[in-house]
Amino acid sequence: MTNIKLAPAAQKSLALQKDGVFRLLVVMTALLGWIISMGFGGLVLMQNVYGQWQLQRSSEVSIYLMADSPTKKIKELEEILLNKADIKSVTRLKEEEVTALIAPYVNVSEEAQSFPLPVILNMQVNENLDHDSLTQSVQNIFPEAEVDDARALLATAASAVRLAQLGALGLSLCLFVIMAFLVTLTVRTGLRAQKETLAILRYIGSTDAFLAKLVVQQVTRRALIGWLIAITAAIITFGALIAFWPLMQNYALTPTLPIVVASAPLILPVLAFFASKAATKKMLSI
Amino acid sequence: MIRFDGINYLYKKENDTAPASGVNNISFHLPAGSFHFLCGPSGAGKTTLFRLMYMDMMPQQGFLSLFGKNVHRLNRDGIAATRRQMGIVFQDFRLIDHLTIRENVELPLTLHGIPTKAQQQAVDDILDWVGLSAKKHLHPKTLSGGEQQRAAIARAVVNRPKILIADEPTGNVDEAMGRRIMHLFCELHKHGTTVLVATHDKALVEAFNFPVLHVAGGKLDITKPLAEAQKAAEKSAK
Repeated sequence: MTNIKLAPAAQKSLALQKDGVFRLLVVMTALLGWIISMGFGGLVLMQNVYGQWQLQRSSEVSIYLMADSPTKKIKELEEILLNKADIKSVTRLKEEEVTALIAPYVNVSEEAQSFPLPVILNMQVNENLDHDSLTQSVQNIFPEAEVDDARALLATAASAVRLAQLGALGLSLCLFVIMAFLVTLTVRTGLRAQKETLAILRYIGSTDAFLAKLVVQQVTRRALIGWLIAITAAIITFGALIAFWPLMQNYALTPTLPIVVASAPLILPVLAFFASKAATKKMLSI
Repeated sequence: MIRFDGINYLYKKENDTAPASGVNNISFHLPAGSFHFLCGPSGAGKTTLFRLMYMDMMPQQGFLSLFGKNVHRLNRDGIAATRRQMGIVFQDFRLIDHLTIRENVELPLTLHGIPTKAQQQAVDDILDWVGLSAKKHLHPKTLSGGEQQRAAIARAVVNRPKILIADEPTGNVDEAMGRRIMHLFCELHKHGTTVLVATHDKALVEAFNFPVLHVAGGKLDITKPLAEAQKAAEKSAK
């Protein structure tokens, strides 16, 4: 009997939608779904931004030498560096590039004549580079030189990103609990309001499974409508963000983002299905 | 088919001086294919008997069996399955207000798993029979009491139940329609349905020559059909 296809009359027999809380279910699913979509979409964006930044930072190392460093020694250092297996290239920055780099900190135009510009060597490296050995090699020739080591910064940034992701997941769990509570409340109030109809359906031979099917179908259908509204709103929001902030395109236009934005709030109808099933079972057994 | 054996069901008294209502030590057996009337004054226990029959409540004492099964041993699905073999006509109709008459009548067939096309034919036939074809798309609240009663009867008999219990099924209809409904019940009875009709209508009981269960003060008497009783009286007079 639980497997029969429900005729329209049967589907209409429990009119849960008459209850205000039941209508609220669509609105709440849409709202929670939009928040989850934006949250998970934001996580993907953050991951993309962090990933690109990390790649850039971990593949570049700069060496800062004093302005009066002898050219011969600089060339000697460049040769030593190029012989290292994990260093792909060494480029000495031109004076105007150095000037541009320090411009935010020093008024170079006024002091251009007298300000000694440091020598900066930019290296493309791979991730297996031994930073301690590199620093040792550099300081053997230029004891006062500074080697830019981004490892500590990268580790801090990685921790911050993980923390933000954990926070977002925690928030999502809270939203799932709210959704489960909302569905349970909806089912309870809906079934209480339909007490008379439930009694009639039972008198004519409805099983608990049949009644549960009626309830679960209606709840899940509304949660799915809420999900559709949520992903539409989320796509519009991300579209607007990209339109008004073109820099976002670099991070947002990946296949992962639309998949995550659409699939993350799908948890809500799934949750609604199971929560309504459990709540109905409990209510019908009373 | 329906067996009551020493059944007790007494409602809680409001105070110590009030008499207990309900049914007390009731025993009877309605064999398969029988037709009985259930008569008695208001508050005599007719509704309690009916509620026990459709398992709205369980006996406090005694043994009640339906279709040869002890109702105490039925689980929730078992009760539902038993009810699907029964047609119940309630005094207050108990139609679902937000469904049309047609949809109300369709419901028992859906529960039986009857295909939609076959449902439509059966529903059309029965609504035609009770004279509600023209009003099948209306909602119960828009119909008169008599029309609602006919719709309730249509719902109870549409799946040709093995047991039909009807509480005052002719109470809200005119005499002609009352007779028509009784003929429908007789038709079902001829096809093997066990029928129990609660009624106050003495004329109806006299017109249809079936045994009467008379309940009063929670106790039960079974009388023979009126015609048989009259014959017996005539014999004893001779």
